[in-house]
Amino acid sequence: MGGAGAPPPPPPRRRGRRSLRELEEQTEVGQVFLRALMRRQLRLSCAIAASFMGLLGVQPLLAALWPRYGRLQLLGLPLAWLVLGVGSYPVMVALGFLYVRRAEQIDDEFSDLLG
Amino acid sequence: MTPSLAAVAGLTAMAALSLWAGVLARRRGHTTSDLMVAARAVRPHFNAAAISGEYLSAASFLGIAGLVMQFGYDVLWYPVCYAAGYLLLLLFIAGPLRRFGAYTIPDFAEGRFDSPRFRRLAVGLVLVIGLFYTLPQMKAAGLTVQAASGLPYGVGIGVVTVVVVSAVISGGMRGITLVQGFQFAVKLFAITVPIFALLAVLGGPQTLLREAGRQPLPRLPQATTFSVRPGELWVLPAADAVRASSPIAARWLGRPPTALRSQAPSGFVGTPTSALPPAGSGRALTVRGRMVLPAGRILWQGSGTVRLARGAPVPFGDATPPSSTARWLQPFGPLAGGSGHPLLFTYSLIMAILLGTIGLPHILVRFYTNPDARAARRTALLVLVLLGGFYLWPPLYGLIGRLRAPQLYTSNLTDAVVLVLPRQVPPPWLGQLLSAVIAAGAFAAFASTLSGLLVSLAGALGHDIYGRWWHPEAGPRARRRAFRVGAALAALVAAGLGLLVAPFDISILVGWAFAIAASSFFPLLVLGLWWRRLTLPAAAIGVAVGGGCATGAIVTTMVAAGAPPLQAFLARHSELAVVLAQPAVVTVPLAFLCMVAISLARPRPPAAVGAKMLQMHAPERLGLRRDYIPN
Amino acid sequence: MLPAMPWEATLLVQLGATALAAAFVFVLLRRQRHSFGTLEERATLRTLAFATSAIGTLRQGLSTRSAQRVLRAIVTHTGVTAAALYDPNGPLAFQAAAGSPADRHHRHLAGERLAVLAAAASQRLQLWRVHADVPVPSCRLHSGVVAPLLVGDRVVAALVTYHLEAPGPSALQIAGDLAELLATQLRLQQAEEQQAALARSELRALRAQIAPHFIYNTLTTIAAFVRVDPDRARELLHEFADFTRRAFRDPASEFTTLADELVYVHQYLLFEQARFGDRLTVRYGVDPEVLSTVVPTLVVQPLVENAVKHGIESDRGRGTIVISAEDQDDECWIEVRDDGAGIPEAVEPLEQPGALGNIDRRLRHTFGAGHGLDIASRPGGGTSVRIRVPKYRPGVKAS
Repeated sequence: MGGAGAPPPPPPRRRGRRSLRELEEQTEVGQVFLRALMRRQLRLSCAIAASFMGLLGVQPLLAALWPRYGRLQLLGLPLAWLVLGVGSYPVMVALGFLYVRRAEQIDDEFSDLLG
Repeated sequence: MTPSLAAVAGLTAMAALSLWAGVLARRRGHTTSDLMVAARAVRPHFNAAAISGEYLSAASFLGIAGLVMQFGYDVLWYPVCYAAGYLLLLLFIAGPLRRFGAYTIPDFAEGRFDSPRFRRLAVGLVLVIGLFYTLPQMKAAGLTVQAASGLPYGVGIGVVTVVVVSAVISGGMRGITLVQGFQFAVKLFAITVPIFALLAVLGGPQTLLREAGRQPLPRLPQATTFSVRPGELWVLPAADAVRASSPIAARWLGRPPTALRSQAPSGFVGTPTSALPPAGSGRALTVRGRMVLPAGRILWQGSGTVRLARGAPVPFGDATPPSSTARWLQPFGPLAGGSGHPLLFTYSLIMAILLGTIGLPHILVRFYTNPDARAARRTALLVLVLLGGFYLWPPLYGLIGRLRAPQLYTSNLTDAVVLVLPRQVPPPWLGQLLSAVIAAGAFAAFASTLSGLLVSLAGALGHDIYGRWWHPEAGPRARRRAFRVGAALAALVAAGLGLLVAPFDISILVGWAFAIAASSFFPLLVLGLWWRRLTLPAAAIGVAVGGGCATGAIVTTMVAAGAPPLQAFLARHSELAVVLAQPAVVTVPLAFLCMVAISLARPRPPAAVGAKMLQMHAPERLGLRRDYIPN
Repeated sequence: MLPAMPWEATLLVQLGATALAAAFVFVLLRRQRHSFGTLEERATLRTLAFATSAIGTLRQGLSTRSAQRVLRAIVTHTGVTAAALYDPNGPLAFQAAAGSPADRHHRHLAGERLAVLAAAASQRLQLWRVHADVPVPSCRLHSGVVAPLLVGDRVVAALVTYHLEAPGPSALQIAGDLAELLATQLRLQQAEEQQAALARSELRALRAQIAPHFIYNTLTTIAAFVRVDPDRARELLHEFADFTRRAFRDPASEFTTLADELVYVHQYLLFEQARFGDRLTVRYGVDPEVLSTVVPTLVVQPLVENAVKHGIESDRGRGTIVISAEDQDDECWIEVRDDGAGIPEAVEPLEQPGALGNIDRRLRHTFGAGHGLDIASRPGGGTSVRIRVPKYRPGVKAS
C-alpha cells in the first residue's frame, strides 16, 4: 500500500490568540467569553421571539375584550382574517431576516474579538 | 362523491414520477465536475425547498382547508403557527444544534448528557410522536384515493401504504434533497393554480364574502341528491323540503338540548359529537315522496336517496356543528367558542403548534445536511419564506367550499374540499385537469411526509432498537433488513390505526402529534442548547412528564369519544375537557418547570458541559476543534 | 365587558402593539452594540490586539515584511519619531511616524549601518548621536537608541528608535522593553520552527517509507505531458502543488468532512488518470446529503489508491473504479469498488501489512466494533470495500 495517504502526524498546537486558547481549554476566562456570546445570542433570540409572540398573542385577547374586532372590514374583507391569515407571514419573514443578520454579526464580532 | 378518471391519473402520475425521480437521483453517477460543484454540500435554498416539501403534509394541503370550511376563522391559527414554528426553530435551535452535529433528537439527547439510557427514552418518544403524526397522513391518503377513484376509504389506505412502504424500502422515496424540493414545487403549484382558476370563475374574495354574508346558513348551490344509510345522522339547522325516491324509515330526535350553536362538544373538537342515542328514542318518521323535514336531528334507519332543492339549507353531518356565517367568520367561532373557554383553547392551540414543529422527528434531520450553522439559519429563514407563500392559499379553499360544496358538510367529508372544488371550474376538461393537478399535489403531500415519517420510525426501530440494543454486533445487511422490517411494521400499525381515526379531523390529529412534541422535545432542546446547568435526571424526568401527560390527555380524549360516562363527566368539567383535548398550555410549562426545578434542586451538571456549550455556540470561523476522544 | 370600541380605536391598538414590539426589538438591538465591553475597554482591547498581533508577526520570522509591520505598530503606539530594525547584515526596514520630519532619513541608513551594528554587538542598550561624524543639516533627527535583540547569546537583530532630542529615561526604558518583547517573539519563533521541523521530518519519514513511487510516477506523467500538451501539464502541476500542500499542510485534525475528503480523492485520481489515460475510468455516485458527514481523515483516499493498484496496475491494465457515498438514514455508507483481479481466497486482506488494517483499526476504535471495513471480493470479479460512518457519534466533530 503506498502513496500520499499516510496517517497524519499529531497536530502542532494552534498558534492563535491567547483568549482563543482559553476558550478552547475551558478556563475561567474562556467561560467569560463564551457566556457573553451566549447571552447576546439568547437575548437577541428572546427579543425577537417575544415581539412575535406579543403580536400573535394580542389577537385572541383583542377578540375577547372587544368583540367588534371580529366584525371589522378592510376593503370588503374581514380585518381579523387579513391580520392573521395574510399579515403574519411577512412579519415572521422580516423578523427572521433581522435575526439572521444580527446573529451572523454577533458571531462575526465574536470571531473578530478572538481571532 | 363521483370518481374522476383525471384525478386517478394525477395520483398515479405523481406516484410514478416521484418514484422515478427518486430512483434517478439514486442511480445517477456523478461526473467529476458535478462532484466538484456539489463538494461544498447542499445549498440553503435547495435544502429549504426540501424541508418545506417534507413538512407540508396532508394536514397542510387538505386539512387546513377542511377545517376552515368547518370552523372558520379560528382555524387560521393552524397555518400561521405551522409556519411560525420555523421562526422559533430559527431563533433557538437551528444554529447551535447544527454545530453540535446531532442527526436526530435521540442523538442530541445522548450526546448532550452522555447517556445512552436517556437515548432510549427519546427513541420511545420519537416512536409515539411519529405514530401520532402518521395517522392523519393515513387518513388523508384514504380520503384522497376515495375522492379520486371512489374506492372505499380502507382500500385507499391499503394502496397508499403498499406504495409508500415499497418506495421507502427500495430506497426510491427517501429524503433525497432534490426529490423533496421537487415535491414542494408540485404542492405549491397544485394549491395555487386551481385557486386562481376558481377565483377567476367565481369572483374575488370580496365577492365571495359578500355572497357568504347573504346566507346566514350554507345553502345548496344546486339541487342535490343524497344517498342515506342506516345509522347516518343529519342535523338540520332549518326545516327542509325533501323528495325521497322511496319511503325511508327515520327517527326525529328533536332539537339538540341546547341551542344549535353549542353543538361543538366541549373541547372534543373533531370527534363525533356524541354516541348515538339509545334505540327507540325520538319520534318515528317515514320519509316518502315530497315532504318537509323539521329542523333538528334526524337518524336514518333505512337507505335510499333524498333530493334537496337548490337553495335549501344544507343538512349537516354529525362532525360539524352548524353555525351561522357571521359566527363562522369571527374569532371564537364554533372551534374555540364551542369549547366554552375560547381564550384558553386558542392559547393552548397556539402553543402546541408553535412549539411542536421543533420536536417532530423527521424535521431536524434535514438540518444536518447544512454544512454549518450559518447555512442552517439561512435554510430556516428560507423555509419561512416558502411556507408563508404556501399557507396563504388553503384557507381560501375553505371559504369557497362553504359556498360551493356545502354537501360535504352532510357527508362529513370537509377534509376533501380541496379535492372536490377544482372540478367546478368550467369547461369540464379544465375542471378535470385541475382536479388531476390537485390530486397530484395531495399525493405529494401525504407521500412525502409519510415517507419521511416512516424513515424516522424505521430508523428508530431498525437502527436504534434492533441495531443498538438488541443486536449491537449486527452487520450492515442485518441492519438493512431490520430497517425494512421496521418500515413495514410501522406502516402496518399506522395503517391499522388509520382505519380507526376516520372520524377525526386531519388537522386535529396533527395537532395532537404537535402537542406531544411540544411538551417533550421542545423543552429538552431549548434548555439543553442554552442552559448549561440542565442535569440528566431533570431532562429525563421533564421529557417523561411532559410527553407522558400530553399523551395521556390525548388518549383520554380519544377514549372519551367512545365512552359515554367519561364524556358526560368531561361535559360537566369543561375546563378539564379543553385542557385534555389541547394539553400544551399545561404540559409545556410543566415540562419546563420539572427540568428547571430538578436541575436547581440537585445541581449535578453533566461532565464536560463547557466543551459541549462551546461546540454549540462558538462560531465555526474560530476553527476550534473538538476531536473525538475515545473514553 | 368593556363598551364596544370604534373600530379605528381597535386598529390603533393593533398598530400600537406592533409599534411597541418594533420599538422593543430596536432598543434591544441598539443596546446589544456595546455588549462585549465598554468603550474604553474596547479601545484598550484594540490597541492591545493590534500590538500583540503586529508584534506577533515576528513569529513568522524576521523579514523585511514582518519588520515593516512591527515597526508600523511601534511607531503608531509608542510615540517615537521613527524606528528601524536591523539584522546582522544591515537595515531591514525603517518607519517614520506620519508627518514627522524623520521621513527622509531612510536615505541615510546606509551611512549609519556600521555604527548601529557596532553598537548592537555590545549586547547592551546603546545611545548614539545621529550623523555625529558627517553632519547632515537637512536631517533634524538628534539621536537614536540601539537595542539589541538577543536569542540565546546571539544578537540576531537590533531595534533602533530615533528621537528629535536627547531621549529621556522613559524613552530608553520603552526601547529596551520593546526590544525584549520582540526578542521574546523571535525566541518563540525559533522554538516553534524547531518543533515544526521535527514534525515535518516525522511526516517526511512517514511519507518516505511509502510514497516515493507516487510522487515519482506523477512527476514522470507530468513530464511526459510537457512536450505534447503543455497546458495540461501546467494544470496538473498546479493540482499537484495543491495536492502536496493539502497532504503536508496541517494534517492536524483527526476528522474532516466527507466533502473535503472527496476533494482530496478527486485530486489524487487526477494524477492517476493522467498517468493511465483512458485505461482508468472513475465514476462517482455521491448523495449530496452526506457531504457534511464527519469522517476520519484519510480513510477514503487509501482505499481508492488500493483500488487503483489492484484494479489497474495488476494484470489487465484497464479498469473502472466506482466511488460512492450513500445516505442511509443515520449512517453514511462509503464504498470503493474496482473491477480488477480481486483478492485471492487465501489472503486475509486486513492482516496484510498496509493501509487497510490501519483504517480498519481506526474505524473500529472510533465508531465501535461493528464499523470495521467490509470487504467483498471474488477472484477475477473485482473488490468492493465499504465503510459505514454514523452521521453522529458523541464527540466526533470535524475541525
